[in-house]
Amino acid sequence: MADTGYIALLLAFLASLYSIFANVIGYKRNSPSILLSAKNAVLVVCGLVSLAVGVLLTAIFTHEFQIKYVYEYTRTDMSLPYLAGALWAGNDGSLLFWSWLLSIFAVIVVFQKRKQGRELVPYASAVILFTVTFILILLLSIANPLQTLQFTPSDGYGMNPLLENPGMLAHPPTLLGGYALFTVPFAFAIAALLTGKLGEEWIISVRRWALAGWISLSAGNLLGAMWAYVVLGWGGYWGWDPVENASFMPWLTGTAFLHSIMMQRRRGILKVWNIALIIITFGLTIFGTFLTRSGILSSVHSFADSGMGIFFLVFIGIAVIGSLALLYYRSEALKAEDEIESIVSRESTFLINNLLLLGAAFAILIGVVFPLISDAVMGTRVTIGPPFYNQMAVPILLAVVLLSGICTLIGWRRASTPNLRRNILPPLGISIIITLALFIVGVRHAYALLTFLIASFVTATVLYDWFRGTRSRRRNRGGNWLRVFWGLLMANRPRYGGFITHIGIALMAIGITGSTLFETEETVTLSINESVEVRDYVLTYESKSSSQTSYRRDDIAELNVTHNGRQLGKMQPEKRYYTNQDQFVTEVAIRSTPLEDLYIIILGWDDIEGNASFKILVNPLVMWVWVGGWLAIAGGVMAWWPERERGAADRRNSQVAGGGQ
Amino acid sequence: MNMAIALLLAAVSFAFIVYPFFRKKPSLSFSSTDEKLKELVTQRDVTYAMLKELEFDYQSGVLSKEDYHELETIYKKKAIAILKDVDEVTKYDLVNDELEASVLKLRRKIKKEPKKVEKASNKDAQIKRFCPQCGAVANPADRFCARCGKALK
Repeated sequence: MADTGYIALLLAFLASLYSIFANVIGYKRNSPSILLSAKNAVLVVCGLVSLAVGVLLTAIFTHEFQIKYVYEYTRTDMSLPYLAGALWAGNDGSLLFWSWLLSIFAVIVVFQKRKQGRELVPYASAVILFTVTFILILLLSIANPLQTLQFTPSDGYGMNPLLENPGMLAHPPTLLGGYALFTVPFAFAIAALLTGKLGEEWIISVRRWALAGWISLSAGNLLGAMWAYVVLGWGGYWGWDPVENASFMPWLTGTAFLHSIMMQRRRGILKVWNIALIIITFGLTIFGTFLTRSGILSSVHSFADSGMGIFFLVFIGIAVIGSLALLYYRSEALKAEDEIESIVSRESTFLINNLLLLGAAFAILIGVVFPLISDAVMGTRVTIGPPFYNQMAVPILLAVVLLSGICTLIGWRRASTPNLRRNILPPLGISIIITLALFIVGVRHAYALLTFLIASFVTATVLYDWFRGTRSRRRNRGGNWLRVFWGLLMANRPRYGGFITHIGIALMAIGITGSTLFETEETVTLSINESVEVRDYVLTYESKSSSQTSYRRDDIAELNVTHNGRQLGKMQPEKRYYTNQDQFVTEVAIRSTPLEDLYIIILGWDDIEGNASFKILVNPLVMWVWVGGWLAIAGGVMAWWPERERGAADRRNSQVAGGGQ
Repeated sequence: MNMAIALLLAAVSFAFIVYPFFRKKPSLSFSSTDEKLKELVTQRDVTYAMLKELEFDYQSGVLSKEDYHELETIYKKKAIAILKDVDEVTKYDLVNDELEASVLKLRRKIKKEPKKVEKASNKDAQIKRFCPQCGAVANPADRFCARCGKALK
């Protein structure tokens, strides 16, 4: 079994190498047979890697513990979903999963029917396969997920208990999916550079791929934050951990990319910038993988040092330096067709927003690599903590949020001042009123007030834009307000999807501010029936119960909770001890409302006295981080959703109203 | 056993990859007219998208009436110029169509295939529209005359 999988990977490696060369030669000689053969080879690569994945999954499901990976990450008593999740629980498996995703995307790229950019496909598929080949080399040498043991253990070691959470099923694949999806726009950019077809084709071909990557990466990060919140038990959802940063940086540059390609499509400017941005984004996705796998930084995410760091460094080096050299070589052909005419124009706000996003990514990058630099230069490893990031990145990101509100108020090319004034005053007025109200209620924190001002301004501008759009549409066509509004949104999904994302980000900003600046944290030790008051809550420790299974012991505390005298019910934080791995995992108890979360963690038990120590947090507005995050992703999906294929009759009318992408 | 599987996998993969070399040669996928046309179509679509964006900006009040009309004119002119180029490129195709039509006519005389010709001439009538102002040939998809810019229909 295992050998079959290994053979499949070996053959996939050969087919992948062949396809790269065949694509290049076929394009150069303009030979359809060679190109078709290269195309078939892509399908072969995908089929063979799928076969290897199938072999590994079968081994996992049938508990073939002779395969080392199955032994290390699964147990007989694990449920089916977690067994499937074991595919990406370990280093080797996740690499296999990654190469599988990439090979599937390569097949889609090659076989997708497209109007634009068909000449780019041979080189683009070669670039994707170049990445696949690199991962296959790792899988065939130092990270073979199908390696067998000399003997067959009776049961497996099992997954790290922290990973046995629904988050495990969604967070790694969405994140890896995002990384893999961003490979496609990168591949098309390189193809555009190699073929010299540097017009709008590549931008149009990659828009939806990049958007899909952004959606996936956003979902990955958000799911990771939610998972950290419920599992890691420190009351937060984001800790500026090096690996969190590693997936946040490509998100930032990817966001910048999605905005700057809009400028190239509309105005024919920023061509070099777009290619540079996607190269950087791709480089950062690989860098993120490098950080988790090289073991050079300590993080909750790192796999054990697998000795593959150097491979990744070489790959990043080739990819980034090679692409930048290519970009330099073609820079003559990438002259902008137009220029930014006015400082008060949508272009300039986009440009500033781009620079800020890149600046934030750069600030974070410095924080991430600083320990390595200080180690190399001074011999001591200076770790950068959250305060650095909060001071560097947060103000920049706040400015980005503010700009996301302003740019929708300013037209392309230029804005007439009276018009701008008329558009900006109502939302600005509303947001100032809201902020003043908060001030009167007692919010005095300057940072908080500023965030609330900006977030409410962004939300109000979007709502105001929708109102005016609906009103003018209704004037033309009549009908029910809600229906006209829906028609407006559907008539231009990319535009209004983007606006929804802006509202989502503004809501997130509110949630993040509330939960970081106004949280209450208390650590208490309680004996049975003793109470503690935290903010408006009274918590009474009522009982402790335990249960035991073959591989873990659960200790559960029960607390009675009242809020301002009103009975809210019982909350049950748990502490689990996994005997196999000799590891404790805390299961926090959370009571969530739109206003605030009550969050209880068991710190420990005093078995003799019967006392228990708890950490109790009240986190205001956390729910808005999740609501805003999912809303932002929903907006992305809306913008990504394919436009309906227009019939011939419609195409005739597409003169003004159409055009699609 | 393993050897057999390996050989089988290798054989199947190899066969699939080399199969295109033994098939009848397909036509060249990238002809230069085709490429030029696609480039123009892309440019056209980009311009249309910008016009759509402007319309929405105007609707929601982001653009003032004067700005909107000015920008709209710029991009409409651009779109017309592109459509003109598209016509230039497709003219060759039109010539080819005419040739083919006459070939069909000859064939009809010899082989008597009235049905097919009827279809072809129908198609011809569909393709050809004329500008009411200058009389230039226009494509069915055109909203403006490519020669003089007169709005069609």
